[in-house]
This record gives sequence, structure tokens and C-alpha cells, in this order.
Amino acid sequence: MMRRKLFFRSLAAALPFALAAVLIMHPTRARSEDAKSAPTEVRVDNFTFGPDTLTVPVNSTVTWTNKDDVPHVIASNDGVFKSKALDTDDKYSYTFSKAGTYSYYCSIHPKMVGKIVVQ
Amino acid sequence: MLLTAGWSWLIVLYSLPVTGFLGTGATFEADANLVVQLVMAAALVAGAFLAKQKRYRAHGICQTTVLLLNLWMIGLVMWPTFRRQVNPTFPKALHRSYYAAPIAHAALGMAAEFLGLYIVLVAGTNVLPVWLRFRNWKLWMRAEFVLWLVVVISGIGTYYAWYIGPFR
Repeated sequence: MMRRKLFFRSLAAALPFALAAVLIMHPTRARSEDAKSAPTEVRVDNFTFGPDTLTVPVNSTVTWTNKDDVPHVIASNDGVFKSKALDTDDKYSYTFSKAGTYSYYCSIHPKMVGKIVVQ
Repeated sequence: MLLTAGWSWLIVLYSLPVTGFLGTGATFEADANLVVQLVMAAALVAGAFLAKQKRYRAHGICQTTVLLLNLWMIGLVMWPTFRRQVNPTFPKALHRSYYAAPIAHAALGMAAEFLGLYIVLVAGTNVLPVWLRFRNWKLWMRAEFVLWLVVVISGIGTYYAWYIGPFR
């Protein structure tokens, strides 16, 4: 009788810890943490976008930082977003609320092209 | 008429492709401007030959057309591009060729355009008072011609610094 009581008490005490462990190790949580830490930065350097293709989850905010010593303008091919002229170290951010592939370029130097894939 | 032409031009401009056609890193408008400038320089040389042949009326029409067309190109392409690309960093980045070339080009270009307008006013109209009119025609016109060619060369330099050099 005492043994059974002890067993149930131990079980009751262990349950919250087990639940917490399950929650921490749950794959969806891990995924969302991954999403949070996934890079959403595009570096504009040496007349290229790095990375040239960036994959991000929906509702991510992508930030472009101009590391060149000349101005660049970030503009999407379909007119969804367009920055002002970015001087050195200037940043431009845009939040992607819909899934899809967004191709963009620098409207001053149209040879510079990039892509944001929103999943 | 002028308003309609302006709107039509704007519509054409917005329907133009973004990428240029010369195979460099330039925009369509930059490539178009370069070609127009080279054609205008050729027209100026042709106009100079017209003067040498004493066909002064044809010479006047040719040089004035180039001058006014250039004014149009400044307003449409060069000034907006200068404002977008040079103004944000002016004057702190003058030591870089990316900025030095267009600033030199703009300064010389403005001098050439104003001098050209002045010559047209003196040669083709009676608007200016006598004391503001020059008499030594050849000197003024030759100076303008040489200045214009220097501006064209500095324009090619700007094109190189912006659209060829960075992508080599």
C-alpha cells in the first residue's frame, strides 16, 4: 500500500518535468526557434547581394545592408517593395507576409539581382 | 501639345525595360543617354563643318537642336540620376572616382550648356543688350565646341566608373 502511494506521488512529481521536457524537445518548437534564428539579412557588397537567394518563413522581415561605398536601390521586379537610395551602411527592411518567390534587383545597377523565397 | 508630349514620354519611360542594351551594368536610360550623347557629339562635329562651308543657317539649326536636346536629356536622365546617386554622399566622397567623375562631368556640362545657351542668344536673337554680346564669334564657338567634347569624354568616364568598372 505504501509502495503504491509512493509510486503515484513520484509519478505526480515527475509529470510536470516530463511535460516540460516534451515541450522543449517538441519538433515544432525547435522549428520555430530555428526560424527565429535563421538569417534574414542580405549584405549588399561588391556589387552583389549575399546571399543571392534567401529562403525565409512567412512574416519574416528581411533586411538589406549596403556595405558598398556607392549607393544602391533595392527594388522588386513586380513593384512589391522599393527602397530609397541606400548609402554606405544604410539599411532597408521589408516584411514578407505572403508565400512566394520575390525577385529583386538594384535599380541603379540592374545587373545586381537577388531572390527571396518565402515559404 | 507640350503637356501631351511630356505625358507620352513618361508613359514610354515607364514601359521601357530596366536593363540596358549595351551589355554593361547600366540601366536602359543610361545606355540610351550614352548613345544620344555620342550622336549629338557627331552632330556637333557635322555642324562645325557646316560653318566651315559657310552654311551658317544650317549650322545654327544643327547646333541649337543639339543644345536643346541636351537640355531635355539633362532634365530627363542626367539630373535625376545625379540626384539619386551622387547627392546622398555629396560632398564627403569626392575622393572616389565613382563620385568625382560625375561631379566633374556635371560641373563641366553645366558650363557647356550655359555657354551654349548664351551663344545661341547672342547669335540667333536680339534679346541681350549690346554690351553683353561678344564679337569674336570663332573664339567663343570654338571654345564651346572643345568644352562640349571634354564634357562628352567626362560623360564616358562617368559611364565607365558607374557601369563598367564595378562589374569587371
